[in-house]
Amino acid sequence: MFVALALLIVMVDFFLYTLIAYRESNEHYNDDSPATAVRAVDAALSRGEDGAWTLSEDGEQALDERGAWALLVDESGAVAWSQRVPDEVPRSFSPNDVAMAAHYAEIADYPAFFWDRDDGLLVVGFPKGEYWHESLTYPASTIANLPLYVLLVFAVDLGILFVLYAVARRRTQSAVGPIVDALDALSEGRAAELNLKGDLREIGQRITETSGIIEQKDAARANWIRGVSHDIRTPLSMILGYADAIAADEGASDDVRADAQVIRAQGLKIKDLVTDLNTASKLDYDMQPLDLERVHLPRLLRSVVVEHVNSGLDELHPLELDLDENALDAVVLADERLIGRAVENAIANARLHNERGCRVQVTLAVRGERALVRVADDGAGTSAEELAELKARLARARTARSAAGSYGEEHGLGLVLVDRIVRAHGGSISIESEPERGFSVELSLPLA
Amino acid sequence: MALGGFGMVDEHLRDKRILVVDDERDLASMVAAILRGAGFARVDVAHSGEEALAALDGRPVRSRPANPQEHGGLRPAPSSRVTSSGNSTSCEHGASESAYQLFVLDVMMPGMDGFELLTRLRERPAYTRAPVVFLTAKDEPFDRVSGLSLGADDYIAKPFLPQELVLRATAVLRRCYAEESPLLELDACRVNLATAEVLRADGETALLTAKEHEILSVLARNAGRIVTIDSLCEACWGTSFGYENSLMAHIRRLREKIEANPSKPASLVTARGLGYKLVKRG
Repeated sequence: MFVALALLIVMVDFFLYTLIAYRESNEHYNDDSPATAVRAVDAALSRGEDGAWTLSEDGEQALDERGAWALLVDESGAVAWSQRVPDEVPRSFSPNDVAMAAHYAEIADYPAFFWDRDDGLLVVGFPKGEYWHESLTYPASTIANLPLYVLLVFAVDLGILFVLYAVARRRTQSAVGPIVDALDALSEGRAAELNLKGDLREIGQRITETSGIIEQKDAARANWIRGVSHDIRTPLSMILGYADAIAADEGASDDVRADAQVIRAQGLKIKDLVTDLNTASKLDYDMQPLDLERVHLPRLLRSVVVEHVNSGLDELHPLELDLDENALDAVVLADERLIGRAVENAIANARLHNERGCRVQVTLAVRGERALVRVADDGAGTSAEELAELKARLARARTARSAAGSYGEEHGLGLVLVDRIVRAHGGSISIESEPERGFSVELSLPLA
Repeated sequence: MALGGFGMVDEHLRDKRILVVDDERDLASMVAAILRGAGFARVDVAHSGEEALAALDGRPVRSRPANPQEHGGLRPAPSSRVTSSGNSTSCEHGASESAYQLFVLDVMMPGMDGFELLTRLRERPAYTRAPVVFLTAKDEPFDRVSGLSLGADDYIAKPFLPQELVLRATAVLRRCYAEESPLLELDACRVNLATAEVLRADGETALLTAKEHEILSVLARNAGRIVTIDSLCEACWGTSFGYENSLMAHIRRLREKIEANPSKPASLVTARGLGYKLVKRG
């Protein structure tokens, strides 16, 4: 990058130099140069047989055009011939005068050019201030080293350029760094606040504003989900309550009671859904500081399973708990409610897909540094294609920023939430199934 | 149709006065109907914190004896004894004739919310320890913590099934008013929990140790339901860690005292891998 920049500068410099030099020489050194005038005068000046000097018309014209004057110094130093010579110009020249005049290329402040003739020295003077002359003398070694010096200067220039470049780049980076961090934070769904100085201030303000807007929208969505799930709970309590009462009413006909049971079962599904939505929304927004504590897995599993068994509602799906000998003291660092929710979801998943009933077995084992919680049923299972599709869906949901956002595909949130929760705890899930041979979900969690 | 029959409520608990406070009138009526259906004879309803406090002062509350027209054909509770047991030494407070012995409070109410109502309740000498169950539509952990730290005895998250409500209310009442019903009728014996005496059907008697008594009390409060090993250990030792073997030893000795055949328990049943369940006679 820097090398390209340096090369570009050199090329541009070279081009400009050529251009200017060409233009200048065109303007001043072609027809118009003092040398042409001098040569014209030289050619035009001749001495007749009689010893008189004549300047042909060409010569005079050449002088007139430039307002120049001319004189010829003979070998004795006297002016042998002159044309339009101003008064302040001496009429005779000592060798010293000639030497000094030639050195400074001027006579009495008139820029002067000299031409060596057989019969003397022709001097052509131009109006004051028209030409600038400097005679320079350097040691031969200096000239010999000149390319080196040029190189040196060029190298130093390059160095300065590089430092400037590096400083500028560094400043840009230090200014851009926070912006990149902020954008990263935004894309991960975190809040970003940027206080930049200087040119980038506005960008910083905009990003902060954007973050604010996103945050507001997120908060609004979270509140909305919370609000809806809250408002559904009271009417749902009543639907469940009365459906349950009808289902248990011995005075009602069997058909009515069966219908009421359907209402109750569907109501319970809505209940699960609402809880899932709420959990998903919580995972999205309150997850960052996970409420971690040491969770004794056997204890947690026992309370989850016992709650199901004690509810006595579900005779179609008997639940069993099997704790491996080596897992009796398994402790994980986790949010107890979330892990409980994950296990409940896995159990609910088994029930949901086996409406005609199945046994559900919850097992806990320890392998290496991991605790394995497995929820397996002996129900209908699923085909290889469906299993692959489910896995793909879980993978898709993993890349989605929001768990609530992956709602709406075929089966609600159940296993997606299990996956999210387990992954938030540094674990992973795996699912297995074969048609007619049941379905199992295994939650693998790092031991504390 | 009756909202009833969800587990039998112990005889001595049926006369407990219960106040249900919920701003959703229909839900409050339903909760009251469920409780009445389960056998609680004296259930009152209030629709705001202010109304509830007024009720405590003995001012008239909309006491709602089951009314067929108003409650969608709910039948009156089967046992509609309105007479009080007159036992004023119940639980941890001196309950007067008109005092409530259980509160079922909604958390989210306009004006005074459930938490505030509970705080106001606790300011009254008669209700400093009265059992309270929250009905909450929120299931945020914070709410649970704040509810329980204020001295609530339990909470029930909406939506709930009637069984759950009855079971929780009954469990809280059993815990709170345990000494009123010290006699535990089991298959092979009768246990007096007040004196820790076991009267066996074969005529022998035995005394329960402190731990055995504790375990049996916890199981009796949750009779018919599985109690996890962890809950039992927590009740006995304050922690669920490392006492499982001790618990098993205590259970074994307990069975020797209360079971006809300890190797084939009929009352103190094991739920494999989960915990234990006490099965009462009848």
